[in-house]
Amino acid sequence: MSFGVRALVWLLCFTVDIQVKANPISLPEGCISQEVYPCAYKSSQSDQLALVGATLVLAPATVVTLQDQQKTHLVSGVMWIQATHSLILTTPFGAIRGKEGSVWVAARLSQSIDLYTVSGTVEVLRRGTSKWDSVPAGLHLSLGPMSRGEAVLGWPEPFQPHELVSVVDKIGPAAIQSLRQRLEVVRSQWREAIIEVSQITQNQALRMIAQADEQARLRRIAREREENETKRLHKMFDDRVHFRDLDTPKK
Amino acid sequence: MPPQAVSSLSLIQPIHRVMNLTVFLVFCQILTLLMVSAFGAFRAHFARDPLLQVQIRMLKKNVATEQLRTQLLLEDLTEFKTYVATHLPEIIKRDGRHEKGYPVRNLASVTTSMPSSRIQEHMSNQQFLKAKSAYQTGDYDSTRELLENFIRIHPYSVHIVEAHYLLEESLFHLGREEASAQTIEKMVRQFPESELTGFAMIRLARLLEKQGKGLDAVQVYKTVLQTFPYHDVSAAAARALRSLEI
Repeated sequence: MSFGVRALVWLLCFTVDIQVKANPISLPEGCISQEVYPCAYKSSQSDQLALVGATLVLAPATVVTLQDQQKTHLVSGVMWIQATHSLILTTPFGAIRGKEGSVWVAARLSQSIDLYTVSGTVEVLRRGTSKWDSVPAGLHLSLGPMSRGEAVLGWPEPFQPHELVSVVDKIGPAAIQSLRQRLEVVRSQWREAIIEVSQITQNQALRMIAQADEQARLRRIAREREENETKRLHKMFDDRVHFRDLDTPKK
Repeated sequence: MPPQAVSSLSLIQPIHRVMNLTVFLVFCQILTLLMVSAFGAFRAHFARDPLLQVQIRMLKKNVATEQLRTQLLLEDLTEFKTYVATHLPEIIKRDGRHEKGYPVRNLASVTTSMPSSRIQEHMSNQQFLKAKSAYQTGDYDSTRELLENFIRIHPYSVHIVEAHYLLEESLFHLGREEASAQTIEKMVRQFPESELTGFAMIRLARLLEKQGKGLDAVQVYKTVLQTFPYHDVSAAAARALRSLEI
């Protein structure tokens, strides 16, 4: 390379306008570094937060509220969670608890929350219930909005790798690299995951069949009660509209 | 080869022949330097005040902070809605029946779950609009059928009171006075606070008038006047009452 070309490249290196991306925002300001909780945080790029409970890798523009070192609320966005001890991720529709060593991805891109378990076991608590449901590795499930006083929990199903890759891609290349390494392990557990899902589905179906008779009985009782009440009101309304004197005893 | 490319090559080759390669590169370098300097001068001319730059940066940061604050407030609202949705079914079971339960049922009709409820809401709106247009064209039989289905499928719709009222009117126009009176009775029981119930009661009074029960009709008009003293319905009841007394 001639001297002229080298000089030109050197000159251009100092004159090219480099746009620096926006900084992350935290409320109250600086709460992350000062460890003040609760702390709201909006990531600017693919930011990594090392907490006592877990390491969180956030996709750009993901918003979380750190309640303490082991409890985080996901407001919006996508995050890769690698639990070093134990971490509880809360959402309006329930909580997700990752045990030590578990790796999972949580995405809140619409009204529902999508959970992908990459390794280890994760537990889910639906809002309106008090039982933690166990979700083994290799599964995807969604935690939806409220219905009849309880959050809707979708049927767990083995996650589709291309679907998970498209979600993890939002976080960044480092997360994709981690996922690639772990997918090999997940692939070996694929068969177990499918068996596990079919077992869960079967148990649920049996439980629903057992509940059906009881529900039919309760519905019948409720309907009878409603009919009796309607009859009583019908009579009362009839008396009132036709102005029969209720106080005067009939002759 | 396109003819334009040929012409540009033919332009470059003579320059290359005239100039040494090093001289040509130095010339390019100087030209670039001049252009960059001109661009720098141009930028500096329009952004002379560094204080303004700092202010813009600070304002951008403030906007981003406010956006985050708004997002957190919206999240609080979602939390609150979810809290209400968690407890509402129990409250409806306990206090949601009959006249006293109307406000709770009314609240429940606007706090159902999100994605499915949006589809349901859209469907119910479409069905209701269809029934309403059938009523407006005078097709009372279709209106009756559509509204009966609507009330059965969407009992918690926001249009439920209006649906009952239109059903009662359709039944009246079809000459089914007994069924119309039953619908009015249901409205009195389920939606006692609604003004449409007042209008339905005026219809009931007219039915009574038609049956020759003038005194009963007067009492119903008076009930409407007492129950809805500040509404349009009371004016209608007062007019009907005056004409009856005359």
